Amino acid sequence: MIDPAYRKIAYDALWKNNQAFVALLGLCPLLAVSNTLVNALGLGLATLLTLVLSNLAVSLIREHIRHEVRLPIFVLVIASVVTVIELCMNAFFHELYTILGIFIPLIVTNCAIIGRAEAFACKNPPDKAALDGLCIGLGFTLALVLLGGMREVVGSGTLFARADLMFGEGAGDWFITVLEDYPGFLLAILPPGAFIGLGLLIAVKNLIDARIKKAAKALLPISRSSRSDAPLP
Amino acid sequence: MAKNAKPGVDWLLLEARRASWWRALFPSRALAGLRQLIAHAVKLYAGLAPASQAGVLLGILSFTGMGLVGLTHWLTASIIAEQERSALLQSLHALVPATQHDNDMLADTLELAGPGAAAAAGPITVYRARKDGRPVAAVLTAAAPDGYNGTIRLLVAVRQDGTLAGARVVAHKETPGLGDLIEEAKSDWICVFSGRSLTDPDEKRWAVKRDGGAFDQFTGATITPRAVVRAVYRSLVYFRDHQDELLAAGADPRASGGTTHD
Repeated sequence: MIDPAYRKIAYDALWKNNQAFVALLGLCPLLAVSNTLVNALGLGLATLLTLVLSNLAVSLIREHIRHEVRLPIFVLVIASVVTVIELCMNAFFHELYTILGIFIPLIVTNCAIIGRAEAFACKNPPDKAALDGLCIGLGFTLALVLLGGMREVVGSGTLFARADLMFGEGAGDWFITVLEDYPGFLLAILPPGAFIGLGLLIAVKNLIDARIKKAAKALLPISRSSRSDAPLP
Repeated sequence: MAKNAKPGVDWLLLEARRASWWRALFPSRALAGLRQLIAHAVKLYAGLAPASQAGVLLGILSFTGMGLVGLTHWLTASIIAEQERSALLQSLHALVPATQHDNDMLADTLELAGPGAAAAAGPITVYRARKDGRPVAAVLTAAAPDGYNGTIRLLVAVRQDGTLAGARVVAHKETPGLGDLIEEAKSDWICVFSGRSLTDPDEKRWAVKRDGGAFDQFTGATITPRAVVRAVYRSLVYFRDHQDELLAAGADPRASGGTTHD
Protein backbone atom coordinates (compact mmCIF):
# COMPACT_ATOMS: atom_id res chain seq x y z
CA MET A 1 0.00 0.00 0.00
CA ILE A 2 1.34 3.40 -0.93
CA ASP A 3 1.42 6.00 1.81
CA PRO A 4 -1.65 8.23 1.26
CA ALA A 5 0.55 11.29 1.80
CA TYR A 6 2.58 10.27 -1.24
CA ARG A 7 -0.57 9.63 -3.22
CA LYS A 8 -1.87 13.09 -2.37
CA ILE A 9 1.41 14.65 -3.52
CA ALA A 10 1.16 12.80 -6.83
CA TYR A 11 -2.51 13.65 -7.38
CA ASP A 12 -2.01 17.33 -6.52
CA ALA A 13 1.08 17.67 -8.71
CA LEU A 14 -0.18 15.77 -11.73
CA TRP A 15 -3.81 16.83 -11.85
CA LYS A 16 -5.35 19.07 -9.20
CA ASN A 17 -2.55 21.65 -9.19
CA ASN A 18 -0.91 20.92 -12.56
CA GLN A 19 1.55 23.78 -13.00
CA ALA A 20 0.70 24.30 -16.67
CA PHE A 21 -3.07 23.73 -16.72
CA VAL A 22 -4.11 25.05 -13.32
CA ALA A 23 -1.36 27.24 -11.91
CA LEU A 24 -0.53 28.52 -15.43
CA LEU A 25 3.15 28.78 -14.49
CA GLY A 26 6.10 28.38 -16.83
CA LEU A 27 4.09 29.41 -19.87
CA CYS A 28 7.01 31.03 -21.69
CA PRO A 29 8.86 27.76 -22.45
CA LEU A 30 5.57 25.87 -22.65
CA LEU A 31 4.28 28.01 -25.48
CA ALA A 32 7.57 28.59 -27.27
CA VAL A 33 8.99 25.08 -27.47
CA SER A 34 5.84 23.01 -27.94
CA ASN A 35 5.85 23.19 -31.75
CA THR A 36 6.91 19.55 -32.11
CA LEU A 37 6.54 16.57 -29.83
CA VAL A 38 10.28 15.87 -29.60
CA ASN A 39 11.15 19.48 -28.68
CA ALA A 40 8.41 19.43 -26.06
CA LEU A 41 9.63 16.16 -24.60
CA GLY A 42 13.23 17.40 -24.51
CA LEU A 43 12.39 20.57 -22.61
CA GLY A 44 9.90 18.70 -20.40
CA LEU A 45 12.49 16.16 -19.28
CA ALA A 46 15.10 18.86 -18.66
CA THR A 47 12.58 20.73 -16.50
CA LEU A 48 11.65 17.52 -14.69
CA LEU A 49 15.27 16.80 -13.84
CA THR A 50 15.75 20.38 -12.65
CA LEU A 51 12.67 20.13 -10.43
CA VAL A 52 13.76 16.86 -8.80
CA LEU A 53 17.32 18.03 -8.15
CA SER A 54 16.42 21.54 -6.95
CA ASN A 55 13.63 20.25 -4.69
CA LEU A 56 15.99 17.65 -3.28
CA ALA A 57 18.80 20.16 -2.69
CA VAL A 58 16.49 22.74 -1.10
CA SER A 59 14.95 20.10 1.13
CA LEU A 60 18.36 18.84 2.26
CA ILE A 61 19.52 22.28 3.38
CA ARG A 62 16.11 23.47 4.60
CA GLU A 63 17.17 23.43 8.28
CA HIS A 64 20.00 25.82 7.58
CA ILE A 65 18.24 28.28 5.29
CA ARG A 66 17.67 31.61 6.98
CA HIS A 67 14.20 32.83 6.16
CA GLU A 68 15.33 36.31 5.02
CA VAL A 69 17.64 35.01 2.31
CA ARG A 70 15.62 31.99 1.19
CA LEU A 71 14.78 33.40 -2.25
CA PRO A 72 18.38 34.17 -3.28
CA ILE A 73 19.31 30.71 -2.01
CA PHE A 74 16.60 29.06 -4.11
CA VAL A 75 17.74 31.01 -7.16
CA LEU A 76 21.35 29.97 -6.49
CA VAL A 77 20.42 26.30 -6.18
CA ILE A 78 18.19 26.32 -9.26
CA ALA A 79 20.69 28.26 -11.39
CA SER A 80 23.49 25.85 -10.46
CA VAL A 81 21.35 22.81 -11.27
CA VAL A 82 20.19 24.25 -14.59
CA THR A 83 23.71 25.21 -15.65
CA VAL A 84 24.95 21.70 -14.88
CA ILE A 85 22.07 20.21 -16.91
CA GLU A 86 22.71 22.67 -19.75
CA LEU A 87 26.36 21.67 -19.96
CA CYS A 88 25.47 17.97 -19.91
CA MET A 89 22.86 18.43 -22.65
CA ASN A 90 25.33 20.36 -24.76
CA ALA A 91 27.77 17.48 -24.36
CA PHE A 92 25.44 14.51 -24.87
CA PHE A 93 22.42 15.80 -26.85
CA HIS A 94 24.20 18.44 -28.87
CA GLU A 95 21.69 18.79 -31.73
CA LEU A 96 18.66 18.93 -29.46
CA TYR A 97 20.52 21.46 -27.36
CA THR A 98 21.08 23.71 -30.38
CA ILE A 99 17.36 23.47 -31.28
CA LEU A 100 16.06 24.19 -27.77
CA GLY A 101 18.66 26.95 -27.56
CA ILE A 102 17.90 29.73 -25.10
CA PHE A 103 15.04 27.81 -23.46
CA ILE A 104 17.38 25.51 -21.56
CA PRO A 105 19.09 28.30 -19.58
CA LEU A 106 15.68 29.97 -19.29
CA ILE A 107 14.46 27.02 -17.18
CA VAL A 108 15.97 29.05 -14.32
CA THR A 109 13.20 31.58 -14.73
CA ASN A 110 10.39 29.00 -14.80
CA CYS A 111 8.37 30.16 -11.82
CA ALA A 112 7.00 26.65 -11.30
CA ILE A 113 10.43 25.58 -10.02
CA ILE A 114 11.06 28.35 -7.50
CA GLY A 115 7.37 28.03 -6.60
CA ARG A 116 7.83 24.40 -5.58
CA ALA A 117 11.01 25.22 -3.65
CA GLU A 118 9.16 27.90 -1.68
CA ALA A 119 5.81 26.16 -1.25
CA PHE A 120 6.89 22.58 -0.75
CA ALA A 121 10.57 21.62 -0.70
CA CYS A 122 11.67 23.94 2.10
CA LYS A 123 8.97 22.54 4.41
CA ASN A 124 9.20 18.83 3.67
CA PRO A 125 11.73 15.99 4.03
CA PRO A 126 13.87 15.03 1.02
CA ASP A 127 11.85 11.97 -0.04
CA LYS A 128 8.59 13.92 -0.27
CA ALA A 129 10.31 16.90 -1.89
CA ALA A 130 11.89 14.71 -4.55
CA LEU A 131 8.57 12.97 -5.24
CA ASP A 132 6.86 16.35 -5.50
CA GLY A 133 9.54 17.51 -7.96
CA LEU A 134 9.13 14.33 -9.99
CA CYS A 135 5.33 14.60 -10.16
CA ILE A 136 5.26 18.33 -10.84
CA GLY A 137 7.85 17.72 -13.56
CA LEU A 138 5.80 14.86 -15.00
CA GLY A 139 2.68 17.02 -14.98
CA PHE A 140 4.54 19.80 -16.78
CA THR A 141 6.08 17.35 -19.28
CA LEU A 142 2.65 15.84 -19.88
CA ALA A 143 1.22 19.27 -20.68
CA LEU A 144 4.15 20.07 -22.96
CA VAL A 145 3.92 16.73 -24.77
CA LEU A 146 0.13 16.97 -25.24
CA LEU A 147 0.42 20.48 -26.60
CA GLY A 148 3.47 19.61 -28.71
CA GLY A 149 1.84 16.51 -30.18
CA MET A 150 -1.35 18.41 -30.92
CA ARG A 151 0.47 21.26 -32.64
CA GLU A 152 2.68 18.89 -34.62
CA VAL A 153 -0.27 16.83 -35.92
CA VAL A 154 -2.39 19.87 -36.76
CA GLY A 155 0.51 21.96 -37.99
CA SER A 156 2.52 19.54 -40.09
CA GLY A 157 0.57 16.27 -40.04
CA THR A 158 3.39 14.28 -38.42
CA LEU A 159 4.39 12.92 -35.03
CA PHE A 160 7.83 12.15 -33.59
CA ALA A 161 9.60 14.08 -36.35
CA ARG A 162 13.35 14.13 -35.63
CA ALA A 163 13.12 11.71 -32.73
CA ASP A 164 16.74 10.81 -33.52
CA LEU A 165 17.78 14.10 -31.87
CA MET A 166 16.90 12.60 -28.54
CA PHE A 167 16.96 8.85 -28.79
CA GLY A 168 19.89 8.30 -31.16
CA GLU A 169 20.15 7.22 -34.78
CA GLY A 170 17.74 4.28 -34.56
CA ALA A 171 14.82 6.49 -33.58
CA GLY A 172 14.79 8.20 -36.97
CA ASP A 173 12.15 5.68 -38.11
CA TRP A 174 9.74 6.50 -35.27
CA PHE A 175 8.54 9.26 -37.54
CA ILE A 176 4.79 8.84 -38.11
CA THR A 177 2.97 10.56 -40.92
CA VAL A 178 -0.46 10.94 -39.39
CA LEU A 179 -2.07 12.71 -42.31
CA GLU A 180 -0.88 11.83 -45.83
CA ASP A 181 -0.25 14.73 -48.25
CA TYR A 182 -1.11 17.20 -45.53
CA PRO A 183 -0.53 20.76 -46.71
CA GLY A 184 0.26 21.95 -43.19
CA PHE A 185 -1.60 24.43 -41.03
CA LEU A 186 0.75 27.26 -40.22
CA LEU A 187 -1.31 28.77 -37.41
CA ALA A 188 -0.75 25.72 -35.23
CA ILE A 189 3.04 26.00 -35.48
CA LEU A 190 3.17 29.75 -34.91
CA PRO A 191 2.79 31.22 -31.39
CA PRO A 192 -1.01 31.84 -31.68
CA GLY A 193 -1.44 28.09 -32.18
CA ALA A 194 0.23 27.55 -28.82
CA PHE A 195 -2.20 29.87 -27.04
CA ILE A 196 -5.23 28.37 -28.76
CA GLY A 197 -3.99 24.83 -28.09
CA LEU A 198 -3.31 25.53 -24.42
CA GLY A 199 -6.75 27.12 -24.09
CA LEU A 200 -8.38 24.03 -25.57
CA LEU A 201 -6.42 21.69 -23.28
CA ILE A 202 -7.39 23.73 -20.20
CA ALA A 203 -11.02 23.66 -21.37
CA VAL A 204 -10.89 19.86 -21.68
CA LYS A 205 -9.38 19.57 -18.20
CA ASN A 206 -12.08 21.80 -16.70
CA LEU A 207 -14.73 19.81 -18.54
CA ILE A 208 -13.47 16.57 -17.00
CA ASP A 209 -13.35 18.19 -13.55
CA ALA A 210 -16.92 19.44 -14.02
CA ARG A 211 -18.08 15.94 -15.02
CA ILE A 212 -16.45 14.46 -11.93
CA LYS A 213 -18.11 17.07 -9.73
CA LYS A 214 -21.47 16.43 -11.36
CA ALA A 215 -21.14 12.69 -10.85
CA ALA A 216 -20.31 13.31 -7.21
CA LYS A 217 -23.32 15.61 -6.86
CA ALA A 218 -25.59 13.05 -8.47
CA LEU A 219 -24.83 10.81 -5.52
CA LEU A 220 -25.37 13.56 -3.02
CA PRO A 221 -29.17 14.19 -3.29
CA ILE A 222 -29.86 10.64 -2.16
CA SER A 223 -28.07 11.18 1.10
CA ARG A 224 -29.69 14.60 1.43
CA SER A 225 -33.21 13.33 0.84
CA SER A 226 -32.68 10.46 3.21
CA ARG A 227 -31.61 12.97 5.79
CA SER A 228 -34.67 15.18 5.17
CA ASP A 229 -36.87 12.15 5.75
CA ALA A 230 -35.56 11.90 9.21
CA PRO A 231 -37.72 13.63 11.81
CA LEU A 232 -36.44 17.06 12.70
CA PRO A 233 -35.48 17.49 16.29
CA MET B 1 16.87 28.29 11.86
CA ALA B 2 20.57 27.55 11.91
CA LYS B 3 21.21 28.33 15.59
CA ASN B 4 21.95 24.74 16.51
CA ALA B 5 23.97 23.60 13.56
CA LYS B 6 26.67 22.08 15.77
CA PRO B 7 25.01 18.74 16.59
CA GLY B 8 24.28 18.34 12.87
CA VAL B 9 27.92 18.71 11.99
CA ASP B 10 28.99 16.37 14.79
CA TRP B 11 26.56 13.75 13.57
CA LEU B 12 27.82 14.16 10.01
CA LEU B 13 31.41 13.67 11.14
CA LEU B 14 30.47 10.62 13.19
CA GLU B 15 28.72 9.09 10.22
CA ALA B 16 31.55 9.94 7.89
CA ARG B 17 34.16 8.48 10.24
CA ARG B 18 32.37 5.13 10.11
CA ALA B 19 32.75 5.04 6.33
CA SER B 20 35.95 3.39 5.22
CA TRP B 21 36.66 5.86 2.41
CA TRP B 22 36.74 8.66 4.94
CA ARG B 23 39.22 6.78 7.11
CA ALA B 24 41.41 6.10 4.10
CA LEU B 25 41.23 9.74 3.04
CA PHE B 26 41.96 11.28 6.43
CA PRO B 27 44.30 9.45 8.80
CA SER B 28 43.13 9.96 12.37
CA ARG B 29 45.43 12.83 13.28
CA ALA B 30 44.51 14.91 10.22
CA LEU B 31 40.91 14.09 10.99
CA ALA B 32 41.19 15.47 14.50
CA GLY B 33 42.63 18.68 13.11
CA LEU B 34 39.87 18.98 10.55
CA ARG B 35 37.22 18.26 13.14
CA GLN B 36 38.56 20.98 15.37
CA LEU B 37 38.64 23.39 12.47
CA ILE B 38 35.02 22.69 11.56
CA ALA B 39 33.88 22.92 15.19
CA HIS B 40 35.68 26.25 15.46
CA ALA B 41 34.06 27.51 12.26
CA VAL B 42 30.60 26.46 13.44
CA LYS B 43 31.13 28.24 16.77
CA LEU B 44 32.22 31.35 14.93
CA TYR B 45 29.16 31.15 12.69
CA ALA B 46 26.77 30.73 15.63
CA GLY B 47 28.23 33.85 17.25
CA LEU B 48 27.56 36.05 14.22
CA ALA B 49 24.73 38.55 13.90
CA PRO B 50 21.75 37.14 11.89
CA ALA B 51 22.49 39.36 8.91
CA SER B 52 26.10 38.20 8.80
CA GLN B 53 24.97 34.58 9.14
CA ALA B 54 22.79 35.08 6.06
CA GLY B 55 25.75 36.54 4.19
CA VAL B 56 28.06 33.69 5.16
CA LEU B 57 25.41 31.14 4.20
CA LEU B 58 24.92 32.75 0.79
CA GLY B 59 28.67 32.85 0.31
CA ILE B 60 29.11 29.17 1.13
CA LEU B 61 26.26 28.19 -1.19
CA SER B 62 27.59 30.40 -3.99
CA PHE B 63 30.95 28.69 -3.80
CA THR B 64 29.30 25.26 -3.69
CA GLY B 65 27.24 26.10 -6.77
CA MET B 66 30.25 27.54 -8.53
CA GLY B 67 32.24 24.43 -7.68
CA LEU B 68 29.53 22.16 -9.10
CA VAL B 69 29.22 24.15 -12.30
CA GLY B 70 33.00 24.38 -12.62
CA LEU B 71 33.39 20.65 -12.12
CA THR B 72 30.73 19.89 -14.74
CA HIS B 73 32.33 22.35 -17.15
CA TRP B 74 35.71 20.73 -16.59
CA LEU B 75 34.26 17.28 -17.21
CA THR B 76 32.22 18.17 -20.30
CA ALA B 77 34.37 20.83 -22.01
CA SER B 78 36.27 18.39 -24.21
CA ILE B 79 33.10 16.47 -25.16
CA ILE B 80 31.30 19.71 -26.09
CA ALA B 81 34.26 20.89 -28.19
CA GLU B 82 34.30 17.52 -29.95
CA GLN B 83 30.53 17.68 -30.57
CA GLU B 84 30.77 21.18 -32.03
CA ARG B 85 33.68 20.10 -34.16
CA SER B 86 31.86 17.07 -35.54
CA ALA B 87 28.67 19.09 -36.14
CA LEU B 88 30.66 21.64 -38.15
CA LEU B 89 32.54 18.93 -40.02
CA GLN B 90 29.24 17.25 -40.84
CA SER B 91 27.85 20.40 -42.43
CA LEU B 92 31.11 20.95 -44.31
CA HIS B 93 31.01 17.39 -45.61
CA ALA B 94 27.46 17.90 -46.86
CA LEU B 95 28.95 20.47 -49.24
CA VAL B 96 32.36 18.97 -49.98
CA PRO B 97 32.09 15.18 -49.57
CA ALA B 98 34.85 13.57 -47.55
CA THR B 99 35.93 11.59 -50.63
CA GLN B 100 36.81 14.76 -52.53
CA HIS B 101 39.47 16.03 -50.18
CA ASP B 102 42.15 14.60 -47.93
CA ASN B 103 43.07 17.48 -45.64
CA ASP B 104 41.67 18.47 -42.27
CA MET B 105 39.29 21.26 -43.31
CA LEU B 106 38.83 22.44 -39.75
CA ALA B 107 42.56 23.08 -39.41
CA ASP B 108 43.03 24.60 -42.87
CA THR B 109 41.22 27.87 -42.31
CA LEU B 110 41.60 31.54 -43.07
CA GLU B 111 40.19 34.54 -41.22
CA LEU B 112 39.42 37.34 -43.67
CA ALA B 113 37.72 40.70 -43.50
CA GLY B 114 34.31 40.28 -45.11
CA PRO B 115 33.23 42.08 -48.28
CA GLY B 116 32.06 45.70 -48.12
CA ALA B 117 29.62 46.47 -45.37
CA ALA B 118 29.83 42.93 -44.05
CA ALA B 119 33.36 43.70 -42.86
CA ALA B 120 31.83 45.39 -39.85
CA ALA B 121 30.24 42.11 -38.82
CA GLY B 122 33.64 40.66 -38.07
CA PRO B 123 35.98 38.46 -40.07
CA ILE B 124 34.59 35.60 -42.12
CA THR B 125 36.08 32.17 -41.73
CA VAL B 126 37.06 30.19 -44.80
CA TYR B 127 37.51 26.42 -44.64
CA ARG B 128 39.61 25.01 -47.45
CA ALA B 129 39.45 21.58 -49.01
CA ARG B 130 42.51 20.15 -50.74
CA LYS B 131 43.38 16.87 -52.33
CA ASP B 132 47.04 15.90 -52.74
CA GLY B 133 47.92 19.48 -51.79
CA ARG B 134 45.89 20.99 -54.66
CA PRO B 135 42.94 23.24 -53.79
CA VAL B 136 39.52 21.66 -54.37
CA ALA B 137 37.09 24.10 -52.85
CA ALA B 138 36.69 26.87 -50.30
CA VAL B 139 33.78 27.01 -47.89
CA LEU B 140 32.93 30.58 -46.89
CA THR B 141 30.87 31.53 -43.87
CA ALA B 142 28.45 34.09 -45.23
CA ALA B 143 25.84 36.24 -43.54
CA ALA B 144 22.65 37.66 -45.00
CA PRO B 145 21.82 40.61 -42.75
CA ASP B 146 18.64 41.37 -44.74
CA GLY B 147 16.59 38.34 -43.68
CA TYR B 148 12.96 38.77 -42.65
CA ASN B 149 13.87 38.34 -39.01
CA GLY B 150 17.54 39.04 -38.41
CA THR B 151 20.71 37.70 -39.91
CA ILE B 152 20.76 34.39 -41.77
CA ARG B 153 24.08 32.57 -41.47
CA LEU B 154 25.20 30.40 -44.36
CA LEU B 155 28.00 28.14 -45.48
CA VAL B 156 28.74 28.67 -49.17
CA ALA B 157 31.09 26.19 -50.86
CA VAL B 158 32.80 27.35 -54.04
CA ARG B 159 34.83 24.92 -56.12
CA GLN B 160 38.23 25.96 -57.35
CA ASP B 161 36.76 26.63 -60.86
CA GLY B 162 34.25 29.15 -59.49
CA THR B 163 31.14 26.94 -59.54
CA LEU B 164 29.08 26.42 -56.42
CA ALA B 165 29.41 23.10 -54.64
CA GLY B 166 26.36 24.15 -52.65
CA ALA B 167 25.09 26.28 -49.84
CA ARG B 168 23.57 25.50 -46.45
CA VAL B 169 21.84 27.62 -43.83
CA VAL B 170 23.53 27.26 -40.46
CA ALA B 171 21.45 29.61 -38.33
CA HIS B 172 18.39 31.76 -38.88
CA LYS B 173 15.33 33.15 -37.12
CA GLU B 174 12.93 33.13 -40.09
CA THR B 175 9.22 32.37 -39.67
CA PRO B 176 8.54 28.65 -39.10
CA GLY B 177 6.54 27.18 -41.94
CA LEU B 178 7.27 30.07 -44.31
CA GLY B 179 10.83 31.33 -44.27
CA ASP B 180 12.35 28.22 -42.74
CA LEU B 181 12.04 26.37 -46.04
CA ILE B 182 15.60 27.58 -46.63
CA GLU B 183 16.66 24.82 -44.20
CA GLU B 184 17.77 21.67 -45.93
CA ALA B 185 15.73 19.62 -43.43
CA LYS B 186 12.52 21.42 -44.44
CA SER B 187 12.80 21.61 -48.24
CA ASP B 188 15.32 21.05 -51.02
CA TRP B 189 15.17 24.68 -52.16
CA ILE B 190 18.71 25.40 -50.96
CA CYS B 191 20.02 22.74 -53.39
CA VAL B 192 19.22 24.91 -56.44
CA PHE B 193 22.58 26.57 -55.99
CA SER B 194 24.65 23.48 -56.67
CA GLY B 195 26.61 23.84 -59.90
CA ARG B 196 25.67 27.50 -60.42
CA SER B 197 28.30 30.16 -60.95
CA LEU B 198 28.60 33.88 -61.65
CA THR B 199 27.84 33.23 -65.34
CA ASP B 200 25.04 30.73 -64.71
CA PRO B 201 22.71 32.54 -64.53
CA ASP B 202 24.18 35.91 -65.49
CA GLU B 203 24.35 38.80 -63.08
CA LYS B 204 20.85 40.20 -63.72
CA ARG B 205 19.19 36.86 -63.16
CA TRP B 206 20.89 36.27 -59.78
CA ALA B 207 17.66 37.13 -57.97
CA VAL B 208 14.34 35.56 -57.04
CA LYS B 209 11.69 35.28 -59.79
CA ARG B 210 9.66 38.12 -58.29
CA ASP B 211 12.63 40.38 -59.04
CA GLY B 212 13.02 38.96 -62.55
CA GLY B 213 15.66 36.43 -61.51
CA ALA B 214 16.14 32.69 -61.93
CA PHE B 215 15.43 31.45 -58.41
CA ASP B 216 12.06 30.48 -56.91
CA GLN B 217 10.69 32.34 -53.95
CA PHE B 218 8.27 30.71 -51.51
CA THR B 219 4.55 31.31 -51.40
CA GLY B 220 4.13 33.94 -48.73
CA ALA B 221 7.84 34.51 -48.25
CA THR B 222 9.97 36.45 -50.71
CA ILE B 223 12.24 38.37 -48.40
CA THR B 224 13.95 35.30 -46.96
CA PRO B 225 14.97 33.63 -50.28
CA ARG B 226 15.90 37.03 -51.67
CA ALA B 227 18.33 37.54 -48.81
CA VAL B 228 19.82 34.09 -49.27
CA VAL B 229 20.23 34.48 -53.06
CA ARG B 230 21.96 37.82 -52.54
CA ALA B 231 24.27 36.42 -49.87
CA VAL B 232 25.28 33.50 -52.09
CA TYR B 233 25.89 35.88 -54.98
CA ARG B 234 28.05 38.12 -52.80
CA SER B 235 30.08 35.11 -51.73
CA LEU B 236 30.67 34.17 -55.38
CA VAL B 237 31.82 37.70 -56.20
CA TYR B 238 34.05 37.68 -53.15
CA PHE B 239 35.54 34.38 -54.24
CA ARG B 240 36.23 35.74 -57.74
CA ASP B 241 37.96 38.81 -56.33
CA HIS B 242 40.04 37.00 -53.74
CA GLN B 243 40.55 33.66 -55.44
CA ASP B 244 44.33 33.58 -55.11
CA GLU B 245 44.24 34.52 -51.48
CA LEU B 246 41.48 32.04 -50.68
CA LEU B 247 43.09 29.07 -52.34
CA ALA B 248 46.71 29.94 -51.56
CA ALA B 249 48.48 26.79 -50.60
CA GLY B 250 49.93 26.70 -47.15
CA ALA B 251 52.82 24.23 -46.94
CA ASP B 252 51.83 23.60 -43.39
CA PRO B 253 48.22 24.46 -42.65
CA ARG B 254 49.11 25.61 -39.18
CA ALA B 255 51.85 27.91 -40.47
CA SER B 256 49.57 29.50 -43.09
CA GLY B 257 47.80 31.56 -40.49
CA GLY B 258 45.25 28.81 -40.14
CA THR B 259 43.51 28.75 -36.85
CA THR B 260 41.51 25.85 -35.63
CA HIS B 261 37.91 26.73 -35.24
CA ASP B 262 36.78 27.86 -31.87
